[in-house]
Amino acid sequence: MIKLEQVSKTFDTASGNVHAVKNVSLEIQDKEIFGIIGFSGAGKSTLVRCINLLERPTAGRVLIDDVDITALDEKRLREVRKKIGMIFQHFNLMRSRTVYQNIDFPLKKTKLTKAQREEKIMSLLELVGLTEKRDAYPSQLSGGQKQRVAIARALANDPKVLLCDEATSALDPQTTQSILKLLKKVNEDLGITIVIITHEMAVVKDICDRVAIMESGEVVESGYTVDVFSRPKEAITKDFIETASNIRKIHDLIEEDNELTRIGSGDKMLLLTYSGTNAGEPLISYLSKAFDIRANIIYGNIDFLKGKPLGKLVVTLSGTPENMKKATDYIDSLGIEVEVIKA
Amino acid sequence: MSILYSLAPNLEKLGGELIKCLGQTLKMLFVSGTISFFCGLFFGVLLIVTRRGGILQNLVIYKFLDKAIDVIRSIPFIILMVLLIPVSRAIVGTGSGVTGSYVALIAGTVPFFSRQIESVLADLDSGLIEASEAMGFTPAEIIFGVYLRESVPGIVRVTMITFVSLIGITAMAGSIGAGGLGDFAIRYGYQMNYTDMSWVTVIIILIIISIIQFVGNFIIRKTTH
Repeated sequence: MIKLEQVSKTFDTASGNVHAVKNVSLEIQDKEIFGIIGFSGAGKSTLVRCINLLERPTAGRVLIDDVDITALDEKRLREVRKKIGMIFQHFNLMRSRTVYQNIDFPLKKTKLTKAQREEKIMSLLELVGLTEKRDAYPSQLSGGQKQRVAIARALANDPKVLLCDEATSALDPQTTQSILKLLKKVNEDLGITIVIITHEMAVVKDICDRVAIMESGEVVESGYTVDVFSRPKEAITKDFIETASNIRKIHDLIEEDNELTRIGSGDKMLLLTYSGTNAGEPLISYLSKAFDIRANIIYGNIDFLKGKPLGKLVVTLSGTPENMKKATDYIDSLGIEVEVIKA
Repeated sequence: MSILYSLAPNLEKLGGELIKCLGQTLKMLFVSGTISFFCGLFFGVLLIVTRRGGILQNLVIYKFLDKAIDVIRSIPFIILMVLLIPVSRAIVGTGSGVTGSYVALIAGTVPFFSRQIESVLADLDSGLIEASEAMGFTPAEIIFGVYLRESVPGIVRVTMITFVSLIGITAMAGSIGAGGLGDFAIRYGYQMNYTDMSWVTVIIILIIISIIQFVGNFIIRKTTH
């Protein structure tokens, strides 16, 4: 288990102190995939570097399996670091070494014989699907392949934790998906705890069990991914959800007074957010049948967070005032989140 | 041979002397070049690892080294050479001749080469160093396995540049009696006005530089991926 206790990191710069991380406390359980999401400059990269002390916190403690690693000497810290793999946005492979030699480098100081090392490297290459590239140089590989090599290298010392610092940010959407699949496999097959730093909503919603949202150095919201994104509390969380859907477009259309978003007096435009179990309810047809409401669907989208559906629907409802009241009460009673966009 | 002698008539009587001087130059290049190479690597690495944010940050060492290099580099070589005669006497026992030139040649080369090495190593992606630290490598493993190993093409490139400038200063070392091709060119080409001897010297030096560059470029091609 990784436990950050009131970790802060302040940089002294020429233009004054920069508080990159402020008083962050987090617990990351064994074998989970934990996401830290935030826009650039939020302090997430600094925070993840506090986990393996690439950045030493100016205050607070970092406990890994109940050992405070901020108190370790350099030699023991290096031993701890060997059990924490890390991958980066720009892969950071050694250009002068082949794929094979890159993975071999961290193994050289171990007690393994040359034959054992070779067996290990080949099994890692098989895991990441690059056996035929063993003698290629990094410059001959695509971005996705480089990241696969980096993952294999990070796994060479049999780490318990894998830190991913914007590991997919330099990759195209398809490659991102394939790397995420690989990370998921690493998590499930090898039981490795994964910490993912990203600014991409797509990364978090696909594979993170739990998520923390960071803004200007602080964790503003955290919890299970489904809960956090189906009931966002903070404005920034809502921002992230919107980046992953077209919902923002609706607001633009309203602002432009687009025909699609014009409503009659007494009508209402609602944003309905379904999550988990109630996502399957045949709501619209029920509203029109039971309350004689005319419902017009303007936008709809279903996302899957760790396989659980999260639906978004923008509808305009029109009907008599008492039927409108009944209808909205009914929607509320289903546990569907309702936001009135325009009335 | 006869064609050579008709192009450079003085070669016939000075050929022996020329070969002796070539030997002196090669000896100066080899001895001071080798020592300068390792010293320059050492100080270049020291600059990189002790600078702010370096893997063995130590600003006292860094600033001292940084200033010392600037000071030595700002002394013209011909003056540095004279200043170092007593030092040379203390270290190698003489301040003149080929042996007496080593200290000055090394002192004139190392600061320049250290800076070149520093700039090559500074060009290395800092992410690579970060990744190495994250993998729990020791500083020695990072220096040899990452900094130096990854920079081989750059190191070869600046070694070639430094070597050419070293050839330049070995010619100056002739003025403290170190001999060599520079001294030969001054004595015969300039003082005795044997222009053909000046040209022969230039051609020999061009050949030496071409060989060095050929070998250097070959290594760079083989180590760049």
